[in-house]
Amino acid sequence: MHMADALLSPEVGGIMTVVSAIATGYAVKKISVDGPDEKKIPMMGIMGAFVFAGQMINFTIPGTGSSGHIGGGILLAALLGPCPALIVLASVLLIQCLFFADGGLLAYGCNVFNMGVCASLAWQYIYRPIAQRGLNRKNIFIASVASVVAGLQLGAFFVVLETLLSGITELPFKSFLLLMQPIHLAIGLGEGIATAAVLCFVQSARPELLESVLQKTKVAGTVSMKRLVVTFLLLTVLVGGGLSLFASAYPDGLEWSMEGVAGTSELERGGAVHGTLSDVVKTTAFMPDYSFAGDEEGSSLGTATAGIVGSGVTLALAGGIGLALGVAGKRRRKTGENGQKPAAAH
Amino acid sequence: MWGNPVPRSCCKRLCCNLKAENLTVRYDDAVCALRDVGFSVRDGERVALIGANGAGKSTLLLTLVGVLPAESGEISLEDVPVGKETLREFRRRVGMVFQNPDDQLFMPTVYEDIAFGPRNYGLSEEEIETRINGVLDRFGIARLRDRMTHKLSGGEKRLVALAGILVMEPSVLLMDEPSSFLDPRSRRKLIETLDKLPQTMLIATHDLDLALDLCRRAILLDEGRVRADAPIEEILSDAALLESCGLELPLSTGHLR
Amino acid sequence: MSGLYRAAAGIDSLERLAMGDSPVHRLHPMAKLAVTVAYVAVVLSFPSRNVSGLMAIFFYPAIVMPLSGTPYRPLLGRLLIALPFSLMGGLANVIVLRGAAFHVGGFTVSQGMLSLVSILLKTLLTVLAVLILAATTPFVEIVHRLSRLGVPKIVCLQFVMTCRYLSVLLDEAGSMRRAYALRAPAQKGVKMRDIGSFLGQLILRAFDRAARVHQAMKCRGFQGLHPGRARGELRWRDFLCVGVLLSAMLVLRFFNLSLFFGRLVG
Repeated sequence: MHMADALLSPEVGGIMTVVSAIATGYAVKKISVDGPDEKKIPMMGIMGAFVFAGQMINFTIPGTGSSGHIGGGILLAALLGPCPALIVLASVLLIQCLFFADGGLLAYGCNVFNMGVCASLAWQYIYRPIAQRGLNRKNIFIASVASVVAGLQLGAFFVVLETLLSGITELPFKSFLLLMQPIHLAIGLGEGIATAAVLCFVQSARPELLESVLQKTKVAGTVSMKRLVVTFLLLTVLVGGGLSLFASAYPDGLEWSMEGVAGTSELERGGAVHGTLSDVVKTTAFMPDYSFAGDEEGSSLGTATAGIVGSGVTLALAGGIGLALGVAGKRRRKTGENGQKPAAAH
Repeated sequence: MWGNPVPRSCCKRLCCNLKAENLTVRYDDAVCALRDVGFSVRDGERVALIGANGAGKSTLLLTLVGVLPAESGEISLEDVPVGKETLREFRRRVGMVFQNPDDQLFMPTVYEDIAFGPRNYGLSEEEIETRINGVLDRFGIARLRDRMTHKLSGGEKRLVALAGILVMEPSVLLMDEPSSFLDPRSRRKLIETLDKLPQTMLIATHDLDLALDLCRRAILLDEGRVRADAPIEEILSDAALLESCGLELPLSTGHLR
Repeated sequence: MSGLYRAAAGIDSLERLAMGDSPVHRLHPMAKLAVTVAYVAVVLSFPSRNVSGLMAIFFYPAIVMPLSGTPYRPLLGRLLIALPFSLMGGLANVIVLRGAAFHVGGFTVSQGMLSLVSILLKTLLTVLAVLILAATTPFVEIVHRLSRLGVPKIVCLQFVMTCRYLSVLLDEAGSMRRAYALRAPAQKGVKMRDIGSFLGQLILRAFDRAARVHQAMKCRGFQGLHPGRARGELRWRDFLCVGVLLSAMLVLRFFNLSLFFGRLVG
């Protein structure tokens, strides 16, 4: 679910960075209000490393032959509380971004939001109310699966939203959503079950761990299971309904693409090309987006060719400089080594 | 007294006596980890703390620095008992080196890690830098200064962990298995380094040869009790005593008998 | 299993690169971070079908990579991670945007194809930029500067400690995974039935380790967070470098060098 930079516009990236910064700031504040629990700091640091390693352990999903791994958001929240969990996930995401290009630099804010904030919210509003009814196997299982699925659905929805708002890709909203949500439903089920298994193990080995987190974030009174299920279903219907309304308000993917194609699809190579061509070039694309350097004179065809030829020249120039620098650097290093070697041998 | 420690010129050897009386430590599950443990270590003395796994060596060290709460008993340094107000200063003067350097070296670079303690005690950055350079030079590891801690070898990690404690200029060193994870050469180097230090030391170890090299006295723990507190040769040559505590004669005591 | 060790090796090689020495390494970490963020933003701000303009932006990696001695090899693995998502978005554009952009010889290049190329180029450039940053600047240094810019201490210390214990935990998980694989040789991953106790054990160990680390911190007088070291101020050459690079980027953003060259040649 890590978003890369390339499909993002700087505006969306910037806004999401601010949003995530605010959420993280809130989490920091909340942690310090809870008391200077300096014990939490090594715990958070090491759990960050754990999540990083844990995400690399694949488990096989029985009967499907496919495999999955934990995301860790709900797991962290259950073990540390939602606010520390957000900070820990943020650190994991930053390391993944810098060391593995898993998620981009400008997409960092989006990723913290989609995976961190969404999971923390899912923990707060789904896991906690269920778990508060008693930490037995059944409740842990339901709470984990429901919250992981909900967190991932929310996250996937935001991925779709952020991608579309960026406007880099022309993926139709509805089809993109129809692709992302079911995939993440499946992923969520697998991950939810795995998370439940891990939490059950932890609960049986060290019951005080999960309990103490719940104690700290306790709200008065418990919720009845029935009411909870009903609210959950209602929410699902509402959100689902709202989404499909929203989706249908957008032009359908296919229709839209037909529209886009209609005018130009008859375009053929050969005779009639010239007339339409200037139109096409004028309205789109290979042309730069600014006006002053557009084509003041000369044909549009000229612009396109100039663009291609020029790109080649630019690339060759950049590559040439790079190559020259590389060779120079290598030679410098080599002479450096040679210069040192006799001295060392001596 | 804690407010103005003895001027260094009067205490050239940087050492202190450490005393424990009637220490009893109990874990949650009512198992007694330490029972009525008492001993005292004199200025500059090095004492080995030996015993089988689970005898209570680590527990004793952690209790001495106040990380584990004692149910009863008293700990004192230079005859001043440790209490709530004195604990912080006590910890500055009694340095604890953990068994696994990975647990102790939690900062990313060597410099940052060694600076961790002094910064907590509010030393100025200049003072910290001088001290760090001094301690690194003393150990001959100045080249490690800006290295990442997790990239160090086992022996280097151990020395850096020790440096992180010594930089606070403690009077007493508590060490938990200082020779674990070390290859023979690093172990030898560590023993030589420790041998040069003036501090009072309490060394918990399974490495009886190391104990013989460094200490003249040993305390033998068994199931949370002090079974013997005597010159080390005496204890390490008593096969029956060692056997009954789950230990064996060290290889190098052949000549002792 | 090998993934865990490969990840550790990947981090390791980047960290080793970052400890190196070059004119780029010597720049202030904040200067490099600023340039990288600006560069990524400039790359992303190109409209999706302006391919020729993007070409000029290639100068940055082409110059900085050899200058800093950043190797090209780690790029491949990173592209493998970053590409699928971009490819999906780009291919969608190919399907949807079938309008012709221009014709070259007998070929019709559609807008979608053009935008696919632009998306792939953007992926390459942004990944390159982040790689250069990671290979020339130690992570810890970046976090240190962030803390001085006002990012809360707890966040910074958490980042630094996670970084510190990455290799430890990767190692621990790796050896557990290896021990599991040796006893379940036909298995590709960990069985769902075992994942609870597998990761659970790892968590318990992590918690124990955290407790020991906390003890070690307490023994060294830890009471809360303290300010880090103030070393290495921004120097004039950092400002100069950031200034030159930013203005170059802005110029290249709004002046299409490729078209200029193309016209010269044509």
